[in-house]
Amino acid sequence: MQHLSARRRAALSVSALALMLGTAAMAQDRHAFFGETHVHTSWSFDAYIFGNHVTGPAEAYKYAKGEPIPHPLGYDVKITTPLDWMGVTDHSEYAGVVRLSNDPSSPISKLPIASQLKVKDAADIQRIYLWLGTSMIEMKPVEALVQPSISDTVWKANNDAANAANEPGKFTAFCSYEWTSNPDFRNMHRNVFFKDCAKVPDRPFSSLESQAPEDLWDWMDKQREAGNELLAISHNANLSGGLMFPTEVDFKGRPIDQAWADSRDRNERLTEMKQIKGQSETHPLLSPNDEFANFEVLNYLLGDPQGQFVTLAGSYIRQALKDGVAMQGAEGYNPFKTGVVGGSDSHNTAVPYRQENFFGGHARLDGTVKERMGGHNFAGMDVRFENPAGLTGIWAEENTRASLFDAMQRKETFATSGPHIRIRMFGGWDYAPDMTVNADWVQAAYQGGVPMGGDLKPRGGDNAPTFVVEAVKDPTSGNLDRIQIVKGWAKDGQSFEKVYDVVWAGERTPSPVDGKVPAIGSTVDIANATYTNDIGSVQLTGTWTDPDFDPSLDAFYYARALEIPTPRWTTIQAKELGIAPPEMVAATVQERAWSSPIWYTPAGDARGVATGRTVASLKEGGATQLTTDELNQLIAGRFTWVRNTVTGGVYKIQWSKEGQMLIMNVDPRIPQPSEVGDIAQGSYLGHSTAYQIRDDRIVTNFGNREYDIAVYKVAGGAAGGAAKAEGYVAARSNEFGFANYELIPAPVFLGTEVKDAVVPTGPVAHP
Amino acid sequence: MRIELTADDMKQLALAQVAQGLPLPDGRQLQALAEQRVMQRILAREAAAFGLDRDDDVIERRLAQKMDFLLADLSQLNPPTRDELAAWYADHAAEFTQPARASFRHVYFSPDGLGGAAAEAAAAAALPAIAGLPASSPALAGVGDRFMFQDYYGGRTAEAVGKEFGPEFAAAVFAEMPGTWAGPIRSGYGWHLVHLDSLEPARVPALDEIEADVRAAWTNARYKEIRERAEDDMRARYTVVIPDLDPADLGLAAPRGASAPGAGLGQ
Repeated sequence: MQHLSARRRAALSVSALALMLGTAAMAQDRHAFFGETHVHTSWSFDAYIFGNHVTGPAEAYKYAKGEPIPHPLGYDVKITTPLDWMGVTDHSEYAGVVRLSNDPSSPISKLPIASQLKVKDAADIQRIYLWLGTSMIEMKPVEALVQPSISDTVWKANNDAANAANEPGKFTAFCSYEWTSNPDFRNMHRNVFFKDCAKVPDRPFSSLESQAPEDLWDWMDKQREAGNELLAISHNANLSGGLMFPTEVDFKGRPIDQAWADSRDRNERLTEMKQIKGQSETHPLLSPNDEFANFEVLNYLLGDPQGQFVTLAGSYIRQALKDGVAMQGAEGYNPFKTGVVGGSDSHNTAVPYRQENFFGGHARLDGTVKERMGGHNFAGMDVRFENPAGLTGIWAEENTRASLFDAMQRKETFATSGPHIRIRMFGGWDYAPDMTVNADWVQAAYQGGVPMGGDLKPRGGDNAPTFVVEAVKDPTSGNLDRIQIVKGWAKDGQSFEKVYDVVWAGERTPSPVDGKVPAIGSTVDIANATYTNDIGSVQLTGTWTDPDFDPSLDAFYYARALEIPTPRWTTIQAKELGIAPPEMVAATVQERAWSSPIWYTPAGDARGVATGRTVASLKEGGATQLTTDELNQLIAGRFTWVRNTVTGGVYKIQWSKEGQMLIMNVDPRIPQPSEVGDIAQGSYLGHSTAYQIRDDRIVTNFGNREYDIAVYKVAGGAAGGAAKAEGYVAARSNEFGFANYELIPAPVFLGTEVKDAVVPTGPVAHP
Repeated sequence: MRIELTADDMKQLALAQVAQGLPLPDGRQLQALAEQRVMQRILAREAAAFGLDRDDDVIERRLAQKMDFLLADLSQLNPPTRDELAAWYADHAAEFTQPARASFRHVYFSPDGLGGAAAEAAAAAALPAIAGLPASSPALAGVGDRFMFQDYYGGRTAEAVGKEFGPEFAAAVFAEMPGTWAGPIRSGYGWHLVHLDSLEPARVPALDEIEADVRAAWTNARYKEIRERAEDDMRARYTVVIPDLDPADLGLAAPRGASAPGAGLGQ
């Protein structure tokens, strides 16, 4: 009943084949090991203040191995399915000092400064949190608290706990910590993982030393030179206010260049797709054609600053991957070739991974069902928007620090929204479309291509690459709906995305209108918060060859597997309380898994000669930039028809004299470039946005960021790639120096498929 | 009133400094440290005379913890003889049980395609045909559907099997009779016929194998026992009065997550 149903038929002699292949089975023997990259214990200054006083790293490891441990509020919590590995990531800033100041047996409690850190009542929580937190934001460390005699002790105890919990082959505990840079309430946090606990430095690099990721990377480079392998995982890009994935200048205001891209790639191998505070894959306004993008969006900045809110650009991973391939084409480097992981960011020591076992992530601030369902306003965040932790899968040979770390380095990792969904993806040029009927297809996939996280080696010719994907459900969770491949590509500084359904459960036919496989339906009984596995598949396996491949364009591909709909935790806990599920969050969710991407970068000659106009080539050809006055004359109180020269898409923009613009006649079939929002829907609904004309530019806004448009007048007959006839060409500020828009006369027809239509002549009654 | 520091006190003062990564104090520094310590003692005594030590939560916790350490030390005073340990181990054997381990082969019937009921029926129909076959029979290769992980699992605990197949399947496999094909058994993936090759039962190791662990557990149990008895004895000497109040009647607001800038940081 599956889309590619030949899958199992020829699978008879499994063991015989495995025997024949014998020794070459190394790559095939990679297993999915599930673990945690991001958890805090009472040793983190904020976790202690939130009310997590009792449990430390040792208890975190116990919890991961399946033993019950106390929630900070006193009741026992137990993991649904034990993990294979974990790294406890307490904040390096002020690590342990709050806990130790409150522990009369510690030497730290005897220091004069300790009296300022004693938590006696609720007011102290606020006072200490603000004091330490603000010192971090303002980079003014409290000297008495950052003495080596304090921080070194805590770091050593943290690593001792990891060593005690580490059981090679059975459970891996990493030495790790969180670098907590939070400039101006923008989350720039990174978790740092060390390969070998025997080589860790005396103390970790903290954000009190520098809030610039570039300085963290420099420190990491020095560690690596000294023989200490390590990598960083950025997290909560969704709360970074656009700072996580910059495209123009780095944290220090220097232009992003090859060296910056190299440094980031060397050190920051992975990024976090999802955690308790939302997902960072993408946003419905960045991916308006992705009907599954509306999943656990969290519109929030840490610290709830007044007058500031999220920025969409620079805050989501798919957009960063798209910007990365656009920069590869336009600038020659890609700073954002990142693999993906999931994490929790729980501050409870214990972590809730499942909707049916959700106990919050912030001790007493979301630890009871009434507090959660009452919508506690926790520092500006309605806790009903929290959701279970994400999870990381690693494809590795064995469950040891070295093997898992090496797999993280090569980005053979995937993220899930919480359940133990296994997802695989390989890309190659010669994969047979029916290769998965063979029991040893994984072996063949490794031999003939690259796994997730890899680069497709360019090969001449026009043949498209083939991808093979497989997902297996979590045996204790929902069945699978489908596997999709998300493709991103770039041309002339513009980047695009498309989501392809590759293999799906049940007999469903893609829509003849948009080619999408219809929704699987739902077995969820919302009132009773139950579902059944009567729909969906246990396992989905398939191959897919890119039907739109262009060997001259940079591209990336990643796989996404979706479960069937199941009840969200708010629906389950509403049932417990006998109240209606809250309307501000979805009643059901489709849990999911995301693979790390595979990239395609054209070899030098395949890339071909750039055909697009650039601002530089326009100026060279004698084009002149319109002034503020000229722009006002050209557009204010008028409409303009515009053609995107990359896509061929044509649309009309209405510019009101009062500063409102409305894009109209948008054809949803033509892909739109990045960061324009859902303009097809806006065109249909008549949803206008503001614009201004100043400093010789049209200034527009999307997702709390400014996008400028410069318009150039091109003289007739100009050579060198410029327009042949006199006209106007425009450049948008996020397209890396390309000028991809031209003003055109109103078209007679707006359709794209019927080519020979003619409007009959003769008198027509006016409508 | 007299304050006297001993040579050991002086040594401790110097050590405390060295332990913080600082150099050994010279003569003048040591005198200064001693002077500080003397002043600390004087102030502490004066404060106690004023009654300032009462109702101080930190002092109370510190003293309570010292009592606790004292009790912990008591539990170490009389280590058990080998015979005492053996007797205690006999009473607590269950706590040291090593879990049962199963080795099994299985044939998988997937619900993908025809559905769960058809998979169960196919499994039930296949059982008679393979019932007489040994687990290593090549004839098994044509039965059932390809399984995505392993066909044979050796020496796995119920927890490990549960992690791979779901806990209900693990419980069912561990309840099977070794040496026969059984099923259909349901897992999180569908239906299975299972040949349990061997079931190594849960076992209690001999004391010799784990004596160090048992000694640690004995000491811990002894400490708990001493502490409980000591606390009961001490509490019996007090008349304790605790008001029976509803939290709502305390006239306090619940701690609020703040909305001031800076709060909520570093999560």
